[in-house]
Amino acid sequence: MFTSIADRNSKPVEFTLFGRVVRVPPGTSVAAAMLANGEAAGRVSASGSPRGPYCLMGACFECSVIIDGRARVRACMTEVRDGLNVERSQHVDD
Amino acid sequence: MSMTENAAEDVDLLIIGAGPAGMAAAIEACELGIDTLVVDEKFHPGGQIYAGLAGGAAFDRSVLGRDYLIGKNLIDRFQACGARTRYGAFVWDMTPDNTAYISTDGTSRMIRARHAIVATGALERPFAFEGWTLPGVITAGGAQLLLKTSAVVPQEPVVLAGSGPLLLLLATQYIACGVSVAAILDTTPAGNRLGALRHFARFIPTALAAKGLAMLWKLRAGGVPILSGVEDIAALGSARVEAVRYRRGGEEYRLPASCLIVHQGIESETRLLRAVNVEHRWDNVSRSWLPVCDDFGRTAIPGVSVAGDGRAVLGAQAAPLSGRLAAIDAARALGRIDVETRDRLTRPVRAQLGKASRGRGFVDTLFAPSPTSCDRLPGEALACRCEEVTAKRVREEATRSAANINSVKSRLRCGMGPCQGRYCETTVRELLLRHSGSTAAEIGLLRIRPPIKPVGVEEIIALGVTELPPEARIPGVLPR
Repeated sequence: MFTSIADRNSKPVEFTLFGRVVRVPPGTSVAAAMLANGEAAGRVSASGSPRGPYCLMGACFECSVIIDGRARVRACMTEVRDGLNVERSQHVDD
Repeated sequence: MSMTENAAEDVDLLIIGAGPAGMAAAIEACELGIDTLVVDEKFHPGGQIYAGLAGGAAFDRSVLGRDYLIGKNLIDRFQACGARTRYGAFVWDMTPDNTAYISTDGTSRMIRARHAIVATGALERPFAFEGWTLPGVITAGGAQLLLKTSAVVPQEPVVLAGSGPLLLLLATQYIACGVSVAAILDTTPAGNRLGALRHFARFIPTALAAKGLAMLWKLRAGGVPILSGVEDIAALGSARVEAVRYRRGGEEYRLPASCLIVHQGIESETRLLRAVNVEHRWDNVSRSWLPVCDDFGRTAIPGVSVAGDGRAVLGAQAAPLSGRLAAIDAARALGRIDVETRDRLTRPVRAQLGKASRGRGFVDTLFAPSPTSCDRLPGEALACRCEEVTAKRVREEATRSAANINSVKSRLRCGMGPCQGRYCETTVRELLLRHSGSTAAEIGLLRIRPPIKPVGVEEIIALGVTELPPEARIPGVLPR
């Protein structure tokens, strides 16, 4: 669905995305890393339907995930860092 | 709010938003010797328009075009201007005495400013249709940010749907970086072309016109089909979007799509201004509520100004100019310069702003949102994503006696979710306008209550806030 066209010469950032280790170019947002790794959804709505990155500018909160144990973190407003642990969120109010 | 003496920081000028308006305002303010603090939610300056130029994934950004690359000049000047900056920080409340509540990394702080310039820009105009909440459906602005900041683009041929120059610009940028565009499904109402004609003569000699023609030429050369007169967009799929369905010339069509990029113009983001009770006026062309301010961007609330697209959507050329106007006027309000100096300094800027706005009439009319935009929205489609409120339920509410958007919000919860109405208010209002017989003024605008973006209760408690703010801070002046 999505792919990265970033330069490959910088050392990639390695972090855990929904239980698996992924590597992406530095400077990538967590939301972009999700999409580039085939993960279009990171949470479900109140009624249980899958939701994922939509506005990518911090306004819709659809990309909220759990990052390093902190809930309700917008994936689009977070840059990847080595060792981050990104988990699915069940509901935005988690 | 009542609070303890906890950690309030004082500043003469607080600028909220480090986009073109905020950056230009800061440069001007620093030149006038004002102690300035700029806060922005992102980790780098540039706003949405120049996102990625000051930090992000490394890639050849020349594919984004010259109008984007020139933003580096403004960013460089901003970074050298001497203003204090705080990134990764969002303002979740502001009180009429100019205390801003700012959250960074899960901790909130209070900042007391003598003057504030709100430069919070614009957001995508909500575009509701069947299946618009499916993962893989993203806004054109969002798709462009994925490219600008993270160098992430669609892998398979991509479908773009909706209306507005951003959709066309994004398509040309995709072509430039080798992404295949399957089709642009153009939903611009046919009547808009006719209406825009009367602005055509004034549009043709502008730089905007040259840019538009160049975009259309590139799309043509790239073999991108632009299908006009498209209606009834629907995203189909179970766990994510798999196809897009649409109607054109009475026929129904389907295209496979692993992602669908949608756009229906942008509108001013004024939630912070509403939180401090700045009066808004209904604008019938953009079909949105705009803050009431003078030529310098000063609102009737003491010490609160507005600049950039949050004042009215005029784009990246105009935004730095309205930012400078607000900053020079703030210098006057703060006692740095007298009225004569302000008027002398702002005269050339005001002239430039007039020039930069030329040609907008054509674009604004051509891509103007239609009053009938939600007429064909299916009843089961969601109007509100957060609280999952269908169009049918809003239509039912519209036939009740009080079709005020705040009563509808309290009954249906649309506007109460984490996005605080950012992606439903327009749809709900259009539905109410069509089904209630009430005017935009009667329907009103969503009352904004803090926090305007979700913050943890523990974060508020840690501030020493002992009392939740009342719904009406200033009785009698609530926006309707």
